[in-house]
Formats: sequence, structure tokens, C-alpha cells
Amino acid sequence: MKSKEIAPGAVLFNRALTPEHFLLALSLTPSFARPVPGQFVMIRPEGVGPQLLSRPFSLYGYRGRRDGSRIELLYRTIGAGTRQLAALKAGESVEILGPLGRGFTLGPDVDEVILLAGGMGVAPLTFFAERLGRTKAPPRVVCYFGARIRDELIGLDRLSPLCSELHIATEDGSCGERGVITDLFAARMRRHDPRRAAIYACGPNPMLQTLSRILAGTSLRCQVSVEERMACGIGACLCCATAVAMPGRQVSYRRVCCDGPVFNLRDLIWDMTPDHSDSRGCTSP
Amino acid sequence: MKPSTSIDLKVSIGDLVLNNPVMTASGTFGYGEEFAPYGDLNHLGAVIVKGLSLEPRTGNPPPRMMETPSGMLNAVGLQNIGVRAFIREKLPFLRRFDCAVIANIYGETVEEYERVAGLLSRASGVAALEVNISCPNVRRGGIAFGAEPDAAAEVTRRVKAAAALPVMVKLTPNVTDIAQIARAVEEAGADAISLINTLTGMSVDVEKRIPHLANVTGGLSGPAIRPVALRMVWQAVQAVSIPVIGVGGILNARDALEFLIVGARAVQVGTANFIRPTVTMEIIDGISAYLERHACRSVTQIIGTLKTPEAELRRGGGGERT
Repeated sequence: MKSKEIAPGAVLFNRALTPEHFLLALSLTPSFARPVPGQFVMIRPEGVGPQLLSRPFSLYGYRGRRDGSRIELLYRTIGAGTRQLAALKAGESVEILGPLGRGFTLGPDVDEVILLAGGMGVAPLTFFAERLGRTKAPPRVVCYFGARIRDELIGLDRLSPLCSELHIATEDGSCGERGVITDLFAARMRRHDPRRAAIYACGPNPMLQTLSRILAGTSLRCQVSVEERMACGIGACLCCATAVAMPGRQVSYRRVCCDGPVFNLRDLIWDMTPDHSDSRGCTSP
Repeated sequence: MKPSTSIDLKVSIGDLVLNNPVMTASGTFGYGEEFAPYGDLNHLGAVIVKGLSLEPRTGNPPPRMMETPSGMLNAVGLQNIGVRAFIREKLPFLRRFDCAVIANIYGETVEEYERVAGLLSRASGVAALEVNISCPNVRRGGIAFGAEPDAAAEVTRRVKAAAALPVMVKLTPNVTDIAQIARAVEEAGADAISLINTLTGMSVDVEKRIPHLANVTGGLSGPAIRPVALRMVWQAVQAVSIPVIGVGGILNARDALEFLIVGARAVQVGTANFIRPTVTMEIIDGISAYLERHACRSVTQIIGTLKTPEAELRRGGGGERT
């Protein structure tokens, strides 16, 4: 019966990229399955507390080998749980559940992939771009990456060689265009052909909500990775609800952890969704 | 999995015999299938499924949870697929396992409780009902029935009359006198009681000055509530003669043993399932190991064996309670 397990992991490094942004690398046993970009893991330091629940993070990197695999997570400290993770040191142990959820999918007719990343939303999109680069006929990758300030354009070095085009916006204008990334995208949107392009977006909910308004009158396809607080990560607690439209103007809640975290943007309803502008990087950003 | 001993973990809750005293608390184990990839459900005493209502319920808007010191707040709002879809789509999977399947039921009115109980009694594969009169996160029903002895007794009586199954009633801790509610439910015909459901709580984002939950308040669970749960279970055990099932913040075998020692016939594990999906199996093994260490052949030998000065005095004064 048993087919999944809590994988023990060891911290390889937990590097502070800024005082509140971290890159965590872990070595795991070979039982950890090869993840699809957009999938996530639940992670907690081994042992008891003070924070008890695992935290969800989308995968930023993965390397599988016969004797074990290595994963990378990118996160920002915004609360007690992420601060507890930030205290982890090389050699310490963690408990990992995953890979979990549904990742990004690529239609056969897509030869231009548009990545729209807001802040820590860059993590699963970078992993996706990296995986696309290893396919037989890699699609063209155009990336729009936005953050509040230049220092929060985390992972730019890894992202830029993966893109044919990279457009940057910061809210204070310290790098790239001044403003939010959705404005920059809206101004250039007509250059993308809906028949061959598909958008993949991840970022704070207000960004995804704006994107949904921008795309309302177009036929551009868009998959988004959604963030919500979770307790279990495996579909049991029903805490990570996100609203989707049902026939007859009905609203239903889907579980971000197992029905997502990747959804078609057009299926989601935003006016009942909270403003997670303090995105910490969970189940995606 | 199990230690190679002949320790008997069986407990009986009225007519219902469980392989061991460890159940999964409603709302923390989905419909069982979510946990099947992580461990063998056959090892469990019972699976109590997510609360079922007559019609499907959408649940509350997000955010629905927040981790708090040694616990978590949730306000899911009893999102569920409805009793008919449960019988059709989820029960066939659960029937394959050796463990008892207990259906947790919820209604906005007494009639709804009756109808859900009736439908589940006619379905094959349900061993017992757990009546939820204690959910703090819904406007109608739930705690409205559980906080008043008369209302609690009325729901119990009507469910008992409508059901052909053992009925366990799940009590809320958000009351002044737990013994009074426990007695009311016992007199109304309950076969067992389980307690506690969550304690109502709240948490605020001070930067934004907004509640962490969209529902503003939620139910607190996890080890933070364990001492409160243990005290209430102990009080309930003294107040009634039907079996009492202990619930509240159990993370490991030691925690489960606390409840058994104060007199709980069985325990439910809730929030801990979210932390480690295999935790119930570890707790069962831990109870076995404890019994072996204490030279007990059966788990029933430790149930209700708390040594308080009062109990010792009674013992010394001749005549144990029977």
C-alpha cells in the first residue's frame, strides 16, 4: 500500500542572498521522485518546534542522481516558520514531503513561452525555464521579471541566460522600467501571438489578479502558480482553498496543494482572494 | 510494523470493537485516501472522515488557517462533498480496509442531522457515527447545538432514533460545565462521547491590522490545547459511564497515554496528521512499546488508572470503585 514517504533531507547550504532572502540546498535520498516544475515540497526542520507545521515551497532546482538527489528552494522570511528555516545550518536534518501538487504543462503547439515573475515567483519559473532548455526543441523563452527594488530581483543571474528576452521592472525604478511588471507586459502584449505563445505566471495575488484583468479580452493562454497557507500539503486539511468559477455563476473552492498549485488563470476568481502582498515564497513565489 | 509481542490493543466502544485505541480526528484525515500512500490504513483503530452534511458545503473563504504558538487556527467551515457523494465516491475505497470507518455528521437543523444519519445507516461500511455539535466555524448548527445541554440532548436523541449505528457525540470545550453537557448527551442515549473539538481563537496581523483568518475567528487545535482537553476528558470520565474518547493536541504515544490513563477508552489524533502523515502508526507502536515496558498484556489495563491522592485514599480505605 505504502508508496510515498517522508524523505529525510540534509542541508547542504542555506545561503542568505539578502537579509531576508535565502537559497536552501538539500540532499535527499533517491526515493524523492523527479519533480515537474511548478510542483512543491512541504519542509520542516527535523524534531519538534517551536513551529510545528511544515511550510510549502515550490522547487527552484533539482538534480537527480542514482545515489540521491539535490533540490533547491528559494524563500523569503516573513514569519516564524520561515525564520525557523532560515536558522538551519549545513549538515542539519529536515523532513520533506514531495514532490507535491500539479506542475506546469506545455501544449504541443507552443513555441513561445512567456514567463511572468513577481518577486519570489521567479523560483518555479526559473526551474521551468531550465527544464525547457533541456527539451529537444526548446521553445523561445521571453521573461518579464518584476520586484519592488533592484535587490529583490532574486536569482537574476540564474534566470537571464535561460531567456531569449528579459524585461525587468522595479517599483522604484532602480533597475529596468519603473512600475509594476504587469504594466510592462501589458504594453508589449500585442507582440505575442496567442496561437503559439503561452504565459506562465507566479507572484503575489494582486499581480495575478491584475494579469487576469489584462488578459480578459485576449485569447492568450495562461497558467499560474498560486500561493496559499497550508497545513498538510496532501489535500486533507482543506486550508489552502482558492476560489474557482463553476457553471451557473457558482463558486467552488479547490485545494491549492493537490488540485494546484498550477491553475489556468481563467478558472480562478479573484474578488474573494486575499491580498498576499507579503508573499514569502510558499507554493510558489 | 508492530512489535512482535502478544499485546492486546483491542478496545470496545459499546458494541464497536476497535483493533486499537487510535483513531484519526475528523477534518484532519480527509476521506482516508489522502493518507493511504503514506501508510497502511489497516493498522488504524478507526478512520473518522471529514464532517458530512446533507448537501455539499463550499466552506469559508481563504485564508483559512494560521499557525499559532504550539498549534493552529482553522476556519475551514465544514467544506465537504455531501453525504451522498461520500457514500458513492469515497466509501467504496474505505471499505477495503480493516479499520473501522466512522462518519462524522453535521447539520444546520436537527432534521438534517437525522437525514444524514439515516443515509449513512443504510450504506454498508460505516461502523459508527460521530455527531458534530461542536464546530465553531459555521453560522448555523455546529456549536449552537453543543453549547446548550437541552439542544445537545435533542440532537442526540433524534440522531439515535434515526440511526442504526452506534452514536458518538463530539463535544465542544467552549462551555462552562463540560460534565453537565456530557451527562445530558448520555441521558439522551449516546453510546459514547468524544472531546474536545477546537477552542475558539483569533490571531491578528499587526502590520496590516487585519485578522489572519477571513472568518476572523477560528478553531484552535494542536498541543496548545492538550492540557485543557485532558482536564475535560478527565472530568467527563467521572461524569458519565459511557465510553469517553480523548481528543486534543496528541502528537505522540506519551500524549495518547495521558488520555488513556485518565480514563479515555480511545483517542483521536488530529493536527499531528498534518505534521507527519505517518504519526498515527508511530503512536500505535509507541503504545505497544509502553505496555510491554510496563508488563501489561492489554491496553485496557492502563485505561482509567490515574493515581490521584483521592483515588489512592479510596483504594486504601477499602473498596475499589466498580
